[in-house]
Amino acid sequence: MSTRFTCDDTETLVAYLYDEIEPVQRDAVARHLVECARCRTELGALGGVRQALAQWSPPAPPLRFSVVQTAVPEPAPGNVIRPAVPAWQSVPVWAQVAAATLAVAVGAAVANVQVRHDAAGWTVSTGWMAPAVPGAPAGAAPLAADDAWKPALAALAQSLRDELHEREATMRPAATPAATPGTAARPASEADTLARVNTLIEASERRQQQELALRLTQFDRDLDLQRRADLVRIDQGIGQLEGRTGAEVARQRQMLDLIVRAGLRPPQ
Amino acid sequence: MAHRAPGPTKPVPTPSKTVLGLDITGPPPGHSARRVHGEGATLTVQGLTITDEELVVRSQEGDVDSFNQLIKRWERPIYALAYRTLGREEDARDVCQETFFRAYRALKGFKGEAKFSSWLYRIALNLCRDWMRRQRRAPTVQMPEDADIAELAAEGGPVESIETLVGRRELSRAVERAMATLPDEQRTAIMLKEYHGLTFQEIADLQGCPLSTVKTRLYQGLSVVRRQLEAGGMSVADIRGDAS
Repeated sequence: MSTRFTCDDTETLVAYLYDEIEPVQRDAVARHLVECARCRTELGALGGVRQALAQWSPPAPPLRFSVVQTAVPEPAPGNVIRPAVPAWQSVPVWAQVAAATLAVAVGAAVANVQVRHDAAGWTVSTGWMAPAVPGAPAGAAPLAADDAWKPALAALAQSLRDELHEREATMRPAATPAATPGTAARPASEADTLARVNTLIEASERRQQQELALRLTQFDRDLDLQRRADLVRIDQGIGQLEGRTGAEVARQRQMLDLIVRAGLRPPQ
Repeated sequence: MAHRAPGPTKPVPTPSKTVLGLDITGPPPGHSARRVHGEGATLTVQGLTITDEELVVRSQEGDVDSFNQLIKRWERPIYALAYRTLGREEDARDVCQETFFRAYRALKGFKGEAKFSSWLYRIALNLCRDWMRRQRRAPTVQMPEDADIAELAAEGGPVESIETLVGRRELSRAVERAMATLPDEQRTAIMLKEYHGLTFQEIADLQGCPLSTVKTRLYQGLSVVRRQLEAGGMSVADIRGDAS
């Protein structure tokens, strides 16, 4: 550590100013100050600034901060705020299973899921399209019971056979006059099939629209009925409240009347 | 610079903060500002001075009274630091309250590597910095224009004349204005050294800078204040002569 002090050593000068300096350095600064008037002036000015700073005192308001232990009342069991949990976690498992089953059933009913078993195997279809099997009873459940599908299957097979025969019968006369059987009759048959498909699709769409309109009307009617019932209930409740209030007022008036009469009665 | 308008002191709601079933409260500040010299306090119980460290240990064990004793001991220096940094009584009071509130909450995590007072100063300085950042303004100078000269005279003792008191007040105002012009680092270094008596090393630890930087900041800050005072017509040589 150097024991020699130079004029530009402001850090050591500050350390000397605040008397936070090693004794050896203090002596070096002191020796320098005897010889250097400039550093003496500088140190005196810094000391003057310190004196001026001492004049700056903040206001002294009464503070008296303190930690106050407050008794936190134990909340009533009904008022306990529990941590937020998803609503589904508070539902019992059996209720969740029941709700899921119901949801699937409602979904299937809305989507009109139909499961059929025929010669081609199991068929699952959705939508409100009528069964494409001619002759089958409309709206009959395909799997109403275990034995119900057997006659339906027989009827379907019979109808398919009949349709095949009809198509063969219609194709034969058309093919006879033609020189090359099959070339002219096939486009006619395809056009016929396409027309039938289109007809079926249109009929299906019409039915779907009718069904939708019917359900919307029913929903609207139910809503209106519920609203009217609620209004009637509210009206009855208000009436009861008014009746009770009126009776209470009448009773109070009667009581007041008795008190007044008793007060007006001359003493015995 | 904000100067308080003359007139009666406007009542301010009592500060209060509740958390973990505890209130940190202060008295209603409807009072006349009185300027005193010197800060800090020592606590003596039955003739024995209890150190901060002992009070901290007791507080960490759940003794609220011990923490209240720490508050009593350090609320005035913390308030003074906040006031000199922010320049407004209300802000200083809020920062002071918030400092002890945060200290109480974080007391379990205080391991005692630094002095408790240094820890408090650090919290308070951080709060002041955040406060000023939120306000986006330089520290304001708030002077009690309605301070009673007679009251000041009573504080100063019988030897001081009215002229001396007025001059002292002028000087205090000039110092406050000069300090407000300093960069944050220089102002904080001067405040911690001049008014709180921290060592160079403690200031360096608080400011997170080398020891030599603290000395440089002090020298530069004092030089700026000197120039400001001299520009205002006050000779620091005269001040020194008057004081001596």
